[in-house]
Amino acid sequence: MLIRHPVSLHLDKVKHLDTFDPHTMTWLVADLTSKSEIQQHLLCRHKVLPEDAVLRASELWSKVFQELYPSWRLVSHDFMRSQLAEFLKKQKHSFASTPGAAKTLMTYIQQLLPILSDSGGKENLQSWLQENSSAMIRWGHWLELSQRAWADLEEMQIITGTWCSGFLVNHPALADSWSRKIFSDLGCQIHSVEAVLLKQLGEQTEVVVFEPVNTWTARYKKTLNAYDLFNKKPVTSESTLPPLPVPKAGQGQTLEIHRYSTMVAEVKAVVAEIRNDLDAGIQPQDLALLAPDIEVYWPVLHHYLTQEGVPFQKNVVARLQTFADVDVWLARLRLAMGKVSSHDLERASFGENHQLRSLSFEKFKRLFSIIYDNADLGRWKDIKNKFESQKTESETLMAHEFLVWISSYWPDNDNTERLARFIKKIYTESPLNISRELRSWMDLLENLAAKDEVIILDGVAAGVHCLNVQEAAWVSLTCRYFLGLSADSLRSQETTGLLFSDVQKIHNDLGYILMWPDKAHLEFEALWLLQTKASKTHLGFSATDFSGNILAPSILWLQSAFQAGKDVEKLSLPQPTRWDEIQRANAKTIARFRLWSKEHAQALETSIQQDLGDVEPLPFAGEVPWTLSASQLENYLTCPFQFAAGKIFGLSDEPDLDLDIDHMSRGKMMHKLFEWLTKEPFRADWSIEELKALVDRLPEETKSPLADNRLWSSICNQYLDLAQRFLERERQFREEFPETHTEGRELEVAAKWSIEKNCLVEPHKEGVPFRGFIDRVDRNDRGQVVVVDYKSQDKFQTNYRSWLDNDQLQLGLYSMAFEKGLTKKDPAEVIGAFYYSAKTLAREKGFRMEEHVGSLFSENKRNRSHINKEAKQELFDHLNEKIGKVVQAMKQGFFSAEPKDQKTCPTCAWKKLCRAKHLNF
Amino acid sequence: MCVEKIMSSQTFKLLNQHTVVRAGAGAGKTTRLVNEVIERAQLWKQAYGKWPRMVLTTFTRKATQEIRERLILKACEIKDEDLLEYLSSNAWLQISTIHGVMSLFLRRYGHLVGFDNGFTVITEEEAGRIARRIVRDLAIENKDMSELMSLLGLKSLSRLLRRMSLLKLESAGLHYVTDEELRYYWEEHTKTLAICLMQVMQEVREATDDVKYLEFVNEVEQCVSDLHPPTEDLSRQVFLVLERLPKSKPRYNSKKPQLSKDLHDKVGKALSKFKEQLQSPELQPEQWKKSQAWFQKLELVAENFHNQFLEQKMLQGHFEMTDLESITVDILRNNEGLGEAFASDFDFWLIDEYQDTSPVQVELLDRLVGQSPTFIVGDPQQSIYLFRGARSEVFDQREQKIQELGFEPDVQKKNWRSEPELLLFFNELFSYLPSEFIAMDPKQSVTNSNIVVARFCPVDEESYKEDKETQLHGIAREIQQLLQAGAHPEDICILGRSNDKLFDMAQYLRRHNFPTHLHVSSGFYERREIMDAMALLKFLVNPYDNRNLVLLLRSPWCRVSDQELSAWLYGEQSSYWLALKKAEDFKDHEVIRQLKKLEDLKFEWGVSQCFEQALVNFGCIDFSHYHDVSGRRESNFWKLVARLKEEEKKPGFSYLQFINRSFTQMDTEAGNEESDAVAALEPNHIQLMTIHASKGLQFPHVILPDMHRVPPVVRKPDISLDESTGAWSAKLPIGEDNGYQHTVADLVLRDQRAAQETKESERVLYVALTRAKTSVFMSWVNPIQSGSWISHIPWSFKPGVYQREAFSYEVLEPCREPVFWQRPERKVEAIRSAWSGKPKSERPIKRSVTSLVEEESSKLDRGPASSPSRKVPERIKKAVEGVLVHRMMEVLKTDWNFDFTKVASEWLGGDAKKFLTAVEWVRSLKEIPLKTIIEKGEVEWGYQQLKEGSIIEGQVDLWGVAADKLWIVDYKTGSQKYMDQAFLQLQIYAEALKKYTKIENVQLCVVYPMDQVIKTQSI
Repeated sequence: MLIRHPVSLHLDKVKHLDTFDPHTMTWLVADLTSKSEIQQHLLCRHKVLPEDAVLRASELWSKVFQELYPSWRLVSHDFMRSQLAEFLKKQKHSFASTPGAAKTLMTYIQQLLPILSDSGGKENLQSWLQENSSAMIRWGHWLELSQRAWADLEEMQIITGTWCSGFLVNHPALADSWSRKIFSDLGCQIHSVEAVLLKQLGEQTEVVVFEPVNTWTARYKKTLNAYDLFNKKPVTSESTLPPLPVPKAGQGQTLEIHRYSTMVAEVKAVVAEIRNDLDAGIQPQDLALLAPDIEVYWPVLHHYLTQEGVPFQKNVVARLQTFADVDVWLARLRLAMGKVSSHDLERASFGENHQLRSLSFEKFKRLFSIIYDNADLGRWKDIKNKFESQKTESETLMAHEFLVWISSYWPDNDNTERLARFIKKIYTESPLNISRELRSWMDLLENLAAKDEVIILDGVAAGVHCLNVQEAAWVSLTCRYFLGLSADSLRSQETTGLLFSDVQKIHNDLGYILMWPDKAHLEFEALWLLQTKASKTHLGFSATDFSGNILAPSILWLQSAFQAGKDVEKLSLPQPTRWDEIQRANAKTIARFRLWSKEHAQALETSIQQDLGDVEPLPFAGEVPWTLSASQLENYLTCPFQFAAGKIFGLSDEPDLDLDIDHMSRGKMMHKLFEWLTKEPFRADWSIEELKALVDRLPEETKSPLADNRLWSSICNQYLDLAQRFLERERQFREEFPETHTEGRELEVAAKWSIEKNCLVEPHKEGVPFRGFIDRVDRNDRGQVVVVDYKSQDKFQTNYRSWLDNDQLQLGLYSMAFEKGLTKKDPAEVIGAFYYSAKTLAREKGFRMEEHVGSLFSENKRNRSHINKEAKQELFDHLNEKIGKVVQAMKQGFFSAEPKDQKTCPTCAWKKLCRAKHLNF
Repeated sequence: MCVEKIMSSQTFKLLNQHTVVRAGAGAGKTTRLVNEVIERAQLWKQAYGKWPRMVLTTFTRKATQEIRERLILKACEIKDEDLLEYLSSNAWLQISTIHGVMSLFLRRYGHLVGFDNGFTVITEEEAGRIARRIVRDLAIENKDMSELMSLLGLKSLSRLLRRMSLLKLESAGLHYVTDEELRYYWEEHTKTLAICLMQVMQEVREATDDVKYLEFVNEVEQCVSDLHPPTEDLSRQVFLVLERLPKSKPRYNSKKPQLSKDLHDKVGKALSKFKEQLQSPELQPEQWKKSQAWFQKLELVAENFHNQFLEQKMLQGHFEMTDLESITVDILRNNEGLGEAFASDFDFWLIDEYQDTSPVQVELLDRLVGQSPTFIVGDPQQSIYLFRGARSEVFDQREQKIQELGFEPDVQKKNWRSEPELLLFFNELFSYLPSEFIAMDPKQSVTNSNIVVARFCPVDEESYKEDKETQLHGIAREIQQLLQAGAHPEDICILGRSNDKLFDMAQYLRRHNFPTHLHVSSGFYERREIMDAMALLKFLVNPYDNRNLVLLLRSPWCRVSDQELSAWLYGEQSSYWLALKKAEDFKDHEVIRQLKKLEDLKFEWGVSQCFEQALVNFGCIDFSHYHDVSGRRESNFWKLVARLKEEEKKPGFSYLQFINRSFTQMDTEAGNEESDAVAALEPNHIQLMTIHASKGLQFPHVILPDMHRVPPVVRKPDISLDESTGAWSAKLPIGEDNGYQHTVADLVLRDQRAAQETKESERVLYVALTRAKTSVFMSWVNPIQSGSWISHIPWSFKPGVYQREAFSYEVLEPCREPVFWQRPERKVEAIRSAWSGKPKSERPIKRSVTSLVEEESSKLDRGPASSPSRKVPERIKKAVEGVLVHRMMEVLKTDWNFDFTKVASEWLGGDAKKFLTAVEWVRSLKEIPLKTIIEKGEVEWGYQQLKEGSIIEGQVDLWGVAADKLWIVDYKTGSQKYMDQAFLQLQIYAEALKKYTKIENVQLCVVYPMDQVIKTQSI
């Protein structure tokens, strides 16, 4: 017998618990918190309570199902999803192979199961769809797939818990399967299919259905439509909707309605309020923080509660995949099945308490930060040996084979607790005889890792409740704080193409009752809760979420605010919490509160002031014995911190290896190529084959690894072309200037910088070591030389007049060094110094001594490169002066981030590391 | 009402009416939209007895949410519950951005064309990675691709191909530029060149009657006219023109000038420029041939790439935001039925901000809307999204279209936002701009024309040279005066054209103690606090990353000074972390100790929880207010934490991926991944934002700096497209000295784009100024650039107050001294102590039987029931046995004779026999009446027991009553040495079951099926 018991308030149900016999009755609820609250209530009287006394609806249907279909296996939602993904891979529809298809198919099967599991359902629905073409377009294909998938699942005899109800509606002897009297307390979370099942059970056993009925519930017809199925007569719809039952403050009650700028403000506000309540003597367990999804708030909320000293009931948990060993393990497994990614490779190579011995992280980063597939592992032998996959994603494995395989990759053989958790889960969930593709197993494993949680901090049993609104019906409260009452959080969007109108029409035309997830049940739940009186009710809405996304208030919040005469747009500022008070204190006070040392607090405060530019950073590393080079000096002049990052902190700024050759390697290869091609005696008649052979040696000779050797044939053409153009240019040049003799290539400069004399001196003398390589030195018959610097880009090539302004030291410095005999070649007068453009192959910019035009260079009147002896000496003097200042500044430890041009900062390799005040806003 | 009646009624006409509303700035567009939705819905309901299914699209999520709120509020005011319910129902009224609508379409119908209904939107970076991989694979196999890669490099090529792929989807009839088209562009371009030269010649003609000059002009004009019409041989034609053009201009006679020196020089320059341009490579047909040969290759390669790129995205269900548009339009073009199906899902469409719609979006909307009536609102004067493809002309076209259908466009000119004096100032100012702006009507008549509504602050060149911050001083002075006059800081908004400029300004103001809030829509991950926090997270994941460690150690939270750090790290070659941990000198340093602690904690708590705790312990939150009183830093920390929590729920989550943001999913509607979080204490700060971000907002006082600048001219893009023909041309490095070569098509299309941008720049000014309600302040630095905003205003800018008919404006002296705001004293308030009360009543704590057994065992020093250090293979074996044995008992309850052969062999392979023997042993057990217990009793029976303030939760393997005895059975597969614990467990069960069954005669039984051992105990 089924008895409908209208309840207008929560209290209407409570009295039934007094006569409830746990031996013979079952109280049916929708959520875990309600279950737990009722269990506690019953335990006070009965001391021992069997599991069946209080069940969630899904648990009841699963139990009934197992009773009626013992040979079937109940699997988890995740298992089913990965199973369906496997099924979909074999389907012809192109959309079936897409990653989201399995999830969608699951929802369709769940909705359509009452038809799918009915013997005549297929034909009935097919003919119905013929007449309902728009439905056919929207979900006809999904129906086809659902039917096929269900046929497979039927054969395998597996089902997931949430589908049981849909399947059971077609069972002829359902009424015999449950003998306990049932109190259905599902509120608005009852599905139509469940209503049918309860009706059927009611034929043999007593079923009491608590039906929420109040003056306003007619407003939620769709939400409560399952209850219509208990009616013998069709329900007539009322002409107008009843008004929304917005909360009002009764006598001795307070109602607060607030709009906050952001969820952070909302958290602060409720924590401050709760603190006031506690100080006023209200017990923590009489207080609740309720949100449509409390998990959204929890990452911030629990910290604020902790700082305030407020005990809370909710546990702080961590998902399994957030544990380092699991993270490393999953990375290894993905690599082992051929799913290569840079982040997994890094995780697996530099995991917990281990790192690759043969490869430093810096080198690893350069080689593997950008990878595309398995072939890229070959960039380092050890990596290839260690991580080249032995299996493919499509390989088929039995459950135990999979478990053996995954176990072999577990990173810590001495600590297998978490591994055991996975093994147990998979074993208990998997059907015994199933084999599936590795990718499907991995999918399951990753889902488990993402869902399974470990408790980090136990909640306090008598602490403040932190719950979702649909869980709070059985919790008795004095003060309740509703958070996040936004439109989207209380009403969800449709998930499939099966619309409510389709569901209704199928019911009317074919008689099938299908499940349709309601969109407004959270709003209903919140309103239902608000019917119960509390001494304080707080309705909160944040105009933005934690990310800054704009939100709209829900109808509940808005109408409550409107009716309370509140300015709905006005933002409320939260009262300060204890943590806000700490934040607003000075460093000393914070330190006292945190039990830090004074020094610690002082250092922290100073660091922040430095970041803000209020305090100048102190000098450092003035005594570090570095070696200088021309490019490092230039680097320093660009920004002292750039120099410090490389030379003092010892960090590498090598670019990550990618399919295109990076500028550093390009430069090295170009230099090497020109070095080879200018070998004396100069030859202009290199054959293509000879050049090709030369070019092919470039990557190895310059230690410039290629991201993918297969692309070399494309890349080498650029160098072949460059080599040919260079040779032709050199040929012409030497024809024009036959005295040219390339005496030095990559000529080493070994010297010291004398601080005292402010110039380069011989290496055995006192000073800062200086080292460099001159790209090229050409000598004429009179022994005079031209210094050449190869450049791959034109933009850095200027005439000597701009060198000091542009901080270009190289050519001048090398010219001085050569003239002083600081190379292995005989010193000589430098009559010209030029940049040699690899792009245009011009060597025009630099300086040329007017009186020596014609031997190693021509005259160029339009070019402002002409110099005379005096001007050259003046240039050298100024360069020395500039370098001297740089060296002095280095010695004084001035390495602050003070770039010459702040526009270069956004692309600087050190921008994250540097704490320049202008970047620190 | 019968159908015929409806069809002929006025209501029907109204319901099927197309409306276009041109609503100027501040004209109450949102109010109009809100009213339209409500009126239309009510009318529909009246006519058809049901609510209409409506779509309302807006440009931003912010606008979407604002309209939603306004609608519900309006319904509250009307007190119509049905309407209220209707307006809050997503199923009936779909309010979203255009991307939201596309998303809805794709989720409903996408699968029909192979689209993943559950698709995810990926970042450009991720898409770039997919593209590069495809290009690489193609370059290995395909000669043309390899050649192109050699020419362009892989990155540039893949960027170009991605762009072409997008164009392929969006543009019908895409093709590389043909000879005929190039000739057309050549003609267009040379005409433009000729006109420029002729204009100068005309000036000469008007300025002098000197015969020499006039002959010169005639000669030039004659030659230039020979350029058109184009002949077959364009090169020759140009050659002849150049040959015949005068080699030099008439000599300038300074003693007896026939022409001003300036004009004389201008003539020379114009002629040289003309000649130079005529000889430019872009205009040479032989160069076009070279380009076209490459274009042909590129087209073939692009086709191949496009197919693979699309296939990859489809297969992975990963799409870029731009794909949503292009793929949807492509789907709709090729599947008309889908557009119709979607259109039939809705009765009426309202489209907001129509002027910011691109031609592709227009097509898309047309196809999705179908024949449904529409209400379109916008203002072409506020079209400022050219860079996103918006075209202001689409609004005019729409107006024209509805006029053709017999409907009249609606114009709303009254401005409700700005004070009348200010509005009339705008009207006059906009009348000086080259583009035509419709004047707006003030909300009321002018009351006092003496009111200074605008202040101008020009900075002379000299002052600027002396102090580059002079303009900023002026702005600060203006703010100071406004604040002193009673304005709240949040009433003042500084609008800039780019984030960079705003950034500089915000820094300046901050240095001078002004409270500021810089709204930027990007750079969240570049915020200092986020970089520091990420370094901490990265350290927890990979401490061997030296660069990251240095970053972390230099952060205030670790507070290692550079002095210390340089001493620690100098000369260190390997992992810094290992070295620091080991080295005697600093292994006990407080920071190193703390970091080491974190390393341990992360094993216990997981990386995320440990990270959060570290943020708290290191003082990141404690000092966030000190760091930034606006509260932005704290909110940003929490944004990061919340994002991390959200991401780690996803299967396949990886910390390193999160840190590197190599796969960031985006929300089609929100897209706030890159922007700052909102501060909890935002008010009371001067607002700084870009003009684009200010759209739809209003402020009492608006400050507009840099009026002297012209926005940077558009560069020649990698690929130019003629939207009207689908012809494309690309720049390729095939010119002289490996330089880039363009075709004449690029020049023409670039000029067209530049003209569009110039016009848009004026609209940007319109948008900026019309944000103001009470006053505007404009500043600039002399000399002003030609074409800049201020260059159009022909007023005197000498200091003083100027009164016009309806308003007054003031020109200020530049401010040569820095201006400081009085920084409020930092309040040091008392800090309350943490709540230390104790709950008066205790709620029972839940405990599992297993934990009780473990606790008891530890008391007895028996060690845990299971060894945590058990090796992996052993674990698996035991787990399999345990699961199988429990399953066996469950199956036996329903089928005592079940055949386990197949199952056992599949699961256990070689060990199956042992299991089958165990099953047989169980079935033949004589020691206990197992069959009866199983048949009549409960298997896997869960229970709770309240005992001494705790709730004990247990799950009994098997219990039942046989021969008046209560049998409690537990199956074990582990070692028998833990049998004591097994009986301890059974005793706990017994205590509950005795209470539950009221049977005192209890028999405990532990069964080891695999070992074929059974032990019993009586109570």
